[in-house]
Amino acid sequence: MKGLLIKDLYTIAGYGKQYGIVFLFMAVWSAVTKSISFLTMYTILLGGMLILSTLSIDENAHFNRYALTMPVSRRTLLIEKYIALVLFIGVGSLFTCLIVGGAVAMHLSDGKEELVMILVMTTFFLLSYSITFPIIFKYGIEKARYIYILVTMVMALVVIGGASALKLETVSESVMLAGIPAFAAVLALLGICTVIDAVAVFLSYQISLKIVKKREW
Amino acid sequence: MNVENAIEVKNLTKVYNGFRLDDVSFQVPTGSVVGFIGENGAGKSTTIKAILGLLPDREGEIQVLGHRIDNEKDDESWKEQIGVVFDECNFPPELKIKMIANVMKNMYQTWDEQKFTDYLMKFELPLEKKVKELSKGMKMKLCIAVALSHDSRLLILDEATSGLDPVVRNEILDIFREFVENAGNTIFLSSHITSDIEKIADYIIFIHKGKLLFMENKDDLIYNYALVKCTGEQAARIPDKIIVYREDNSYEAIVLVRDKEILLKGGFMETATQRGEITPVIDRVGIEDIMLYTVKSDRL
Repeated sequence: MKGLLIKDLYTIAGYGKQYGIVFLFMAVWSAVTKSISFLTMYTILLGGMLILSTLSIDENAHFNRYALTMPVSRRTLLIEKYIALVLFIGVGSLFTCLIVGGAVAMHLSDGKEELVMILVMTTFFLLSYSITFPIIFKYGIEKARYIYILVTMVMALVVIGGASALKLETVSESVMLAGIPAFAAVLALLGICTVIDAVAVFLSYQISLKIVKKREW
Repeated sequence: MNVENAIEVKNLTKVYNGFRLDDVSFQVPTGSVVGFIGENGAGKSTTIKAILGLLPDREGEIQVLGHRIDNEKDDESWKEQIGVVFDECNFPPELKIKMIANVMKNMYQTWDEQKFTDYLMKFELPLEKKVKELSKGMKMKLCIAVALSHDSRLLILDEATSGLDPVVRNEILDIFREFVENAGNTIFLSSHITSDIEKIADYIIFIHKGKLLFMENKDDLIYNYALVKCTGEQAARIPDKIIVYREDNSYEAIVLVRDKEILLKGGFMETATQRGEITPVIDRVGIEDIMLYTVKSDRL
C-alpha cells in the first residue's frame, strides 16, 4: 500500500505547477476582493480534485491492472484510494486552516465563519466523493465525472435551499442557533461532521469493495 | 517451492457476448519457455488475465507456481515471484524512472535495487527521464527491467514485443534467454510475432476462437508439419487424418500436413516417381504458416 500511496504523491507532484498557478490566481482574487471564503473553499476542493486526477491518470495508463499483478490485492488497491482521499482533503483542510490563521493574524477576519465553513466544506466534499467513488470504480472516471458534478450540484442546492428556508445568511448562523456558545457549537459541529464523514467513507468503501472484487481489469 | 508446472490451467471457461473461452486446459512446465499464439481475438489476453487473477466470474481451476488462483482470497504474496509485462507501459506518464524505483521498492519485499540499476545501465535508461519522454522500445525495456528486478521465477508477457523494431526485439529476447538459463525460471509469452516465438520457445500453445487447438514441443511441431505442393491427383492420395488444410488452384494443390513421416513412410514420393508424375515438393514449415493454414482450415 505504501508503494501505491508514494506513486499517487509522485503523480500529483508532477502536476504541482498547474495546481500551484491556479491556487495563486485564487489567492490574488481573494486579496483583491478582500474575502478568503472562496479561497478556503477552493483549497479543500483542490484536495479532492487531486484524487480525481490520480484516478484518471491510473485509468488512462491502465495502472490498476498492472498493480494487481504485483503483491497487491483488490482490497489494498481500494483502501489506498480511500486513504488518499481522506489524506488529500484533510491536507487541503489543514492548509485552509493555516490560511485562515494568517487572515486572523492580519486582522482580516475573526475566523469564526471560515472555521465553520472549513468543517462544513470538508464534510461536503468527503460526502460527495464517498457517493461518487463506487460509481468511479464501476463505470470508470470519465463517465463518473458527470455523476460527480451532478451529485455535488444537488448537494449544494440542498444546502443552499435549506439555508434559504431557514433564512440563514452565513454558515456560522446555521450552526450557532438558539444562543449556543460558539465554542460548544464548533465542537458539536466537529463531532457531527466526523461521524458523518466516517460513516460515509465506510459505507462507500464497502460498496466499492463489492464492485472491485467482481470487476474485470 | 519446486513445482513441476509453473502454470496449470484446467477447464478454463469464460463467456462474453459473442465470444467464449471454451474449456481451455494446458500446463507450462517449470524451466521452459512456452509461446502462446493465436490470431487477434482468439483469447490469448483473456487467458493471461485469468492466470493473473484479473478475471473474476470464470470457471475452471488455475494454479501459478503451486498457488491456486482464488479471487476471493487476499493472499498476494505469491506475486513476489512473478514478473508481468503487458503490451504497453502502465506507469503514470509523469513519473521519472527513479520515482518508479522508489515505488517498486515499496511494492515488492524482494525488490533488488542493484539489479534494477544494472538493467537500467544495460538498457541505457536515464533515471531522470519521465515515462512520457521514453520511446516505445525504452518503455518496454523499463517494464522488463521492473519485471526482472525482484525474485521472479515466472515471467508472463502479453504481446510485450509488439510494435518494437527487430533490433530491440532481439535485445529483449537475449535477456529472456538469460532469464531461463537459471534453472527453475519459466517464461510464458503471447505474441503475434511468430518469428520471436520460434527463436525462443520450447513449447507452442495455439488458441483459436477460444479453443485450444494444440500444445506441442516446438521442434517436433516444425519437424512434423510440412507444406506439400503437388498436383490435385497426388493430393488426393494424402491420408485425410494428417491433412490440416488443402488449397487447390489452377496449377497445384497446397496441403499442410501434420505428420510428414506418415506421408513419407506411406510411399507418397515413390508413388509419384513410379507413375512418372511431377515430383511433389515437401517444404519445411514455420509456426506462422502452421497458424495461418490452421485458421484457414477452420474458416472453410
